[in-house]
Amino acid sequence: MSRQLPPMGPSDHGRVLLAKEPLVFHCNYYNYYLQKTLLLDDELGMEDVITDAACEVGYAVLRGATNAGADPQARLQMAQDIFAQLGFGTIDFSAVDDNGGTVKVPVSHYGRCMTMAAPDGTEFERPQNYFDAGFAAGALAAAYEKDPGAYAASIQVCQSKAGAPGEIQLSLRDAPKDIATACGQGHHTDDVPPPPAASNIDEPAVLEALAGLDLGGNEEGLIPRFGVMLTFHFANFYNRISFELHRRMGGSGLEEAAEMLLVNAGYKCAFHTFGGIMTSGEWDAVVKPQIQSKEDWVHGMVACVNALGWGVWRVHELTEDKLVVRIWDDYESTGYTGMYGKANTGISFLAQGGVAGLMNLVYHADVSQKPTLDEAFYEEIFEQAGGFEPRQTKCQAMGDAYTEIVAERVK
Amino acid sequence: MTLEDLFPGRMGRVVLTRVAIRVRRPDVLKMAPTAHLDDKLAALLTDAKTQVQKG
Repeated sequence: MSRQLPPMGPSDHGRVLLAKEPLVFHCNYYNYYLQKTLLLDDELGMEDVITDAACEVGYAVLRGATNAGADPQARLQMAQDIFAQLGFGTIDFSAVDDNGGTVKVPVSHYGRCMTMAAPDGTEFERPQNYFDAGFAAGALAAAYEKDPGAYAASIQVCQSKAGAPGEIQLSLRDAPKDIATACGQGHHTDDVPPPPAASNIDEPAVLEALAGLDLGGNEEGLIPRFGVMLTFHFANFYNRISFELHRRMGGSGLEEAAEMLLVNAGYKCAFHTFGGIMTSGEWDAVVKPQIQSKEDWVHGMVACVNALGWGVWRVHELTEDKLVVRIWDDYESTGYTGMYGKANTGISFLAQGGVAGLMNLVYHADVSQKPTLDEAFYEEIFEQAGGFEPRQTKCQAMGDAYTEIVAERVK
Repeated sequence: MTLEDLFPGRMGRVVLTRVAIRVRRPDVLKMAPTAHLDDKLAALLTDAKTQVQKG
């Protein structure tokens, strides 16, 4: 399978860049529970925020592709290839021109895989493919060298509701809509993270093994791996939609509630993705042979996290009741400062959910016994006393040298 | 009916948090789990619970 992609590869600070856009691995469970949170309050206008954030990154990645050429059709082919490679599905721009037209999405992560993440029998009250719509609009604008907000995107069909292939109508606006400019890598620390904590895990060897895995989209443009549907997604997309929700909730009295649900989405992500990794054949082949203690399960998973694009995680303190993780350049902090400047509160919501989720898997759910990671098991673990709760004690976006998350067992 | 009846357990607390955002009622998150809900509030929360349990 040959795809024409922008320059893509590892960068400093635990990043993988596509053109100049940082990518992070996330699963359909995170995408489902995050979007579910974003869309709770109809009056916040979050559908437009999600669509515009996708337009922002779709435009940025194609405009930043130094090898895209000058032909709009070649650029749109690259947009199709990017969409498929990153696990978003398949998208077809063949029926559009510089006036717009209909974009087909025969397979959509957001259309199909959200239904897989939702509890059985969940009925979707609205379409889920806002990302597809925004990406299509941004890509078309970039292909024809127009303003990023040149095209309006209207969802005609979403697989999550209709089961049929997705369909997006793009139309040229009379005047472009203001679309934010993607901040690329954002602001990084100048500090050098310490080496991994002492353990029996050889983190460089784990990272080297993971780098050898093909985690690109398959023929359907999907990445079924570790029991979930992965996406290699745009960090600036997640940051924009999460922080814009947080900002729009300001003054409502429900800010903490929104934060709790953003953390919960990260917790869901950890349960399914970390759990999927720790029960996988790849784990058994690469990490498990190095494990000599319970603590090594945590160190091994942290080594894997450092391949996800989430920043550089280091275990600072670990007991059976407590984990302190320090993170250099967590993507939430780098993105926040790139988009909004200095934060006045901790904003590493995904990281909090991830750290607590990891401890729950190892010390509460005993992932070493390879449980079935389904909704029933999630509920059982979540309801049991003795689980872990996270709190953020330092945040790079607030000016701290690193981000620090503490997860402690609730007695 | 009480909040505890409508939103049992820790999972219920997460659903209640979604409901509070849905209906823009931060006060319900501060209510005692065992507090009696009047009929109007119970109906509001029950309806919102159904909505947030959709995808």
